[in-house]
Amino acid sequence: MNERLLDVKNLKISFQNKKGTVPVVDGVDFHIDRREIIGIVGESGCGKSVTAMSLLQLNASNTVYGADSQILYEGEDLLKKSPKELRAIRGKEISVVFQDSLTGLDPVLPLRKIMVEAIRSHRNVSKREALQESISMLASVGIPAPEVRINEYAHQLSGGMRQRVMIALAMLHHSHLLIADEPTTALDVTIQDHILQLIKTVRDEADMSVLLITHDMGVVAEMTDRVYVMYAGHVVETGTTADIFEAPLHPYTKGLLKSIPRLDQPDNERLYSIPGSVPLPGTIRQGCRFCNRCPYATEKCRQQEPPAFRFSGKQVKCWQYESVMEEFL
Amino acid sequence: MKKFIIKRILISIPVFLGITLLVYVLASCAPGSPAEMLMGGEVNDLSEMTPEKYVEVEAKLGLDQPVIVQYGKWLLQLLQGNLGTSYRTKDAVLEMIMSRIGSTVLLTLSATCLSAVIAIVLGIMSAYKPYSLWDYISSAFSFIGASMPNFFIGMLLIYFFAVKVKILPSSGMYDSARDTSLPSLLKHMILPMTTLCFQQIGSILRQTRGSMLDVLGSDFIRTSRAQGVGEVLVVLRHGLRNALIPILTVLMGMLPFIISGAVITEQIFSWPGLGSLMVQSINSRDYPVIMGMTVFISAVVLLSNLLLDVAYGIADPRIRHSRNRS
Repeated sequence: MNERLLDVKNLKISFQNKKGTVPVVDGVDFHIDRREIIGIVGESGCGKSVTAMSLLQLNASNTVYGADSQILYEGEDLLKKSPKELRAIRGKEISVVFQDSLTGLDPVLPLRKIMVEAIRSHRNVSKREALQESISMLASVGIPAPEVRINEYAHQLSGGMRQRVMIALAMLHHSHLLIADEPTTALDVTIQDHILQLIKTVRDEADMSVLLITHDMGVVAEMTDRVYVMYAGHVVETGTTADIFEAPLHPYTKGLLKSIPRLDQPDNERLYSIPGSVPLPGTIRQGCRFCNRCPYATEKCRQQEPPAFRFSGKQVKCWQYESVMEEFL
Repeated sequence: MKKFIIKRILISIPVFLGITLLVYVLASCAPGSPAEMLMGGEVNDLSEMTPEKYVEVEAKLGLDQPVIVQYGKWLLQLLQGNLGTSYRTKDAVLEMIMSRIGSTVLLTLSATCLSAVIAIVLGIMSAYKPYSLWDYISSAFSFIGASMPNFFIGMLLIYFFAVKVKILPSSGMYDSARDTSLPSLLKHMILPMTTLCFQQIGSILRQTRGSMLDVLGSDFIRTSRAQGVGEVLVVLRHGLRNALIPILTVLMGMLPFIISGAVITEQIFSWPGLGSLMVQSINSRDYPVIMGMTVFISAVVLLSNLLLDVAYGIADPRIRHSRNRS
């Protein structure tokens, strides 16, 4: 069996509207090995969710993928699959846990119907068997009295419970890859930790890989093996989680790490935040995409887009490292 | 749920009484005394139409008493199921309504059901591929249907199918009083039904498209797609089921119309229903019939609102649960 589960090459995504196409993800490469947990971090609007949703092509219908983009899952290009083939992969091979579980679960159907439907979409089992399976799956994600809860509706559950249900739904077919799109953003801090631990547990039990999308560096540190830092549709830095946290290279990554509140910080000190905001898709001009927010920006940064420099397993898109690292691509 | 329904019925009672009062006051304010109308029938020539005779007729009808007493008497009768007798035909109003309600409901209910099926199917198709050629065609069609007055559509249909091509009858319910066969009935129903459908499809279609479009863009639709659920299930089971409440509102809003009849359409096609009875009664100032029908229709409106509230609870568990809690 191949160690590499997913290999995304030169992923370009744009949205088509009346005025033309707006690029939102511009040449992203990443890969996931078996049993690996990788993180994609970045601010809102940097293209991380769009990237994750592109794996199952769950983006809006006006989404256009680059002609030379490839999403190789076990060697097969998902972008070339027919809707029918794609449907067979969704939920079975690759499943998703979404951010907002209140709007993410059908409000007018009881959990029982949602779960039985998800099982029977892929396996030809009786409703009764599917129901039994659903109940035991709810039990395994830590829902008390699952045989009662399964008859309830999404609005009758707490946020943490709903997120557990979402995970149970994603686990029904023992998928190989779990995409967790900001799974803890809508939750209390204590519940956040439970959910993250649960994701780790199911990963261990089912031998899954996890793609974790988040803007929370704390979550990244706790969960992931490797990290991709995204900014304005580019991967600006990637490396192992330890490397990224110990020796961040890109000014954006440094900024993100500086923005984490620390306990030893003086009470009266202002929390650091990166000045400015992510450029809107379609407004990006020449040069480095981060240069107008970067404290180290030079004239060269404003003129020329930096390539990805590679240095012992790390990659960074920043001119600062031109002299120290070999050029990649 | 039971508690909720009982509460709603109790609220309906004062509303209904208010309506009866309003109907009575309005009717007694209207110009032209029914006694005058009636005298036209009772006296043979104008010389007999004396003031004495007028007072006599007024007294016979109870019109000489104060309005509030008249209202009290009328309401008491009403609550016993007696809607009064027609000045014009001397028949009991309730019987007149009941003898015509069947043909009205037959026409309007079948038109509404047909419209609902067509409009919901077309609306779903529009919402599934918004801004497509198909969507534009069905939008244009529904706007034309909704904005064209039905007497115009009705007359166009009569002109083409009854006058020019002569394949369909232009009026009535049956070919003759003796021939009450089903084929004859169906043949007579086609044109008035098409006229009504033209109008109804528009509003149901727009509502279906709008609320389906909202629902299909929501997160839980993406969740079920992410689970690998087939498109048909996604659209019907998750999509339509959630889009149902606004569609139900429009459909239930048509219920009073189903009962009271399509006044204009019935008139054009001489359909012997409640709508044409209403027009005749208004023309001849037959107040007992006008009032009786207004009260009857109001009761139907109140009832359909109640049904709609119950239907909301069935369609949406969130509404059901919030009612159970309160």
